[in-house]
Amino acid sequence: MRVSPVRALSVLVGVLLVGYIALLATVMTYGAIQVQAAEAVRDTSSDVAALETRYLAAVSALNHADPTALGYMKPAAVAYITGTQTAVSMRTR
Amino acid sequence: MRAAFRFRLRILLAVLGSMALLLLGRLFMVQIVHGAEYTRKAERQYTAGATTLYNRGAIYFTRKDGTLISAATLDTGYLVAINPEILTDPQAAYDAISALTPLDHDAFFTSAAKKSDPYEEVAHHLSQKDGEALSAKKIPGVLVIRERWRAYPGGTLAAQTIGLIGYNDDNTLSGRYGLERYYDGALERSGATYRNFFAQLFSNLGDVFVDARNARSADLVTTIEPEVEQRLMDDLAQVQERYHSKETGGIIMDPATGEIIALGSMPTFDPNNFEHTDISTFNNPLVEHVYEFGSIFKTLTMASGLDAGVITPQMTYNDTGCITVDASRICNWDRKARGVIPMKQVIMQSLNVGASWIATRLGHDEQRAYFTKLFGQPTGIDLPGETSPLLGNLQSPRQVEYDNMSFGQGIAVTPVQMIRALGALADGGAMVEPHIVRKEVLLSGETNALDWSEKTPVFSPQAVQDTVTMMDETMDEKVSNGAAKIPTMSVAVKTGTAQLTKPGGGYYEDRFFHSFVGFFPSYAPRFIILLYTNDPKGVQYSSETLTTSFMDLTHFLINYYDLRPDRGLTEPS
Repeated sequence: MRVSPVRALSVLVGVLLVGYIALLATVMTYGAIQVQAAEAVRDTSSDVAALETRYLAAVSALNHADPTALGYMKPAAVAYITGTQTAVSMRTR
Repeated sequence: MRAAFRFRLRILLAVLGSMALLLLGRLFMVQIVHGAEYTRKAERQYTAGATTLYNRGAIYFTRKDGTLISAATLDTGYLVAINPEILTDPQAAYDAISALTPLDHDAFFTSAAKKSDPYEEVAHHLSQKDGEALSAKKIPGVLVIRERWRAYPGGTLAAQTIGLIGYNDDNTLSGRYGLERYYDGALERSGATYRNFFAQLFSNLGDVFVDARNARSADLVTTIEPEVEQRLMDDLAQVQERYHSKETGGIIMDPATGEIIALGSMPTFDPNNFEHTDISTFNNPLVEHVYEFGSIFKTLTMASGLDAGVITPQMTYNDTGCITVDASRICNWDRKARGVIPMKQVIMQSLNVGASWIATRLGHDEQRAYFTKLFGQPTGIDLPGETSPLLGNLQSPRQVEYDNMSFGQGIAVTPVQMIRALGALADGGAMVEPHIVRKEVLLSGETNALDWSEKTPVFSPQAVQDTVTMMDETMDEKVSNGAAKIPTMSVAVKTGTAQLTKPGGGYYEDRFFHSFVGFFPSYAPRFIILLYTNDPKGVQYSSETLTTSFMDLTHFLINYYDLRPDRGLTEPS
């Protein structure tokens, strides 16, 4: 069956037009998702930074804490011993 | 056939018509239903100059278990701006904003009075919650715009080393001190965190394939351990506060690799809030200031003499308490003579006469050669502004200069140069490359490990071992009269008390520079610690000012890193 050039061209133009609109829609949708993702990353980074600030502040507070006031006591004696030759193991095989 | 053509044409028209209706519907939603919201967004874009949010690479501390904790990162919130052209009720706007954040009354109303100006920023760094609360009030003329800024979760922790950012002449931000400045090229980022590949295809094809700047953008992973850093800063603060010193500093380093675990100096500053800080505080004295460290130099003199073969550990000498060299008097700290004593007493009793004796046996050329090798080239540490040491006396023809240098006077070096040289005693005689950044994590996810493996051999292992034995005995017998000895851990130490120089020449009799160096375990050291305090008041010897801090840090590191005992073990019964 012969296809006329005008018809073929019309079909091609139609396909390209639809394809172009689809591409635009994809670009805009992708861009919107990307911006949302970037915002989410930024917000999460900020939350992490806040947690890290709290962690470092906790470290500082611990350093300044008086162990005695927290109920801790120094050990009466500390001794180190070398390990024994026989290893104790719960493994059955 | 014509009927078939018409049918297909109708279908095509129907499809196009549906799409047109869809687009019209979307237009209605955008223009009418959400019109006001988009107008506000567009206005923000216009009035804020359509700038993208600030972006910069992160700097991380590394915990002992490998966890990364941010030393420098980015925080997100909101800034508040007003449009004086359309601001109808400045008082209401002021009341609403000042309820959430401190706001200067006069500055706000001055901005509000500029009726020809469409954009005036009035408040920064609002939290997410406060920004959203203000935005929800929809006050005409008040713009709540997303903002991002540099934040330092550790505050004063290693502040001079991490550094900070500041504005350039062209109103851009860049690193001005510390790692922020040294690694500015790696840390700076373009505003866009992500690029839209398809949009770039239409508008900016070049950037799709190659962006040279982003190719080298990286986050920095440092060797600094935050809990050790906190401990060090606390100890330094206690010394600084107790003795009202001009400055106090310290470095803790792994002598085998050169990784700096902690470093800091007092006074310090908070890079999150530095507007009222004296600008001189931003400099890092650990690399930029030189000091005469005093008697800790004796360990290097001893190692030099042993390595050169001009002395042996078994040798003795006659200590007369004071000697005269080139018409100058050199005396021990207590001016007392000890008679004939073995070499190790030079270290254990910190005897200037003994150190001078070694220097005389070494000779000018040998001493110059050793000290030049130890201090004559930059350490290469990755911090800006490393200062050269003052080694001019190594060219002197007079013996008194070499004698003085043998006990650390008449020669001035930075703390980083000092710990690098002393680190040779803790690493079998070779100097390592002290460094802060272990690796860069690139945007692509790849890791670029920095190579700091180069070592400079200075002393023989035997010379080092003999010197370390003397330092080890110093700890066990001399520090706090032996009370500081740790039965289960050998620790090699040396204290230093140097007289401060007068501006016009000569030395003060009553003003000192104190130093303390130590490493443990003595014969396979895991850490080397160098502490100093400049011009402490009401005290003479460094054993009085720095022993407590050194012992606190030593016990902390032993416990924190679970270091195994290297002596004093009891066999099981």
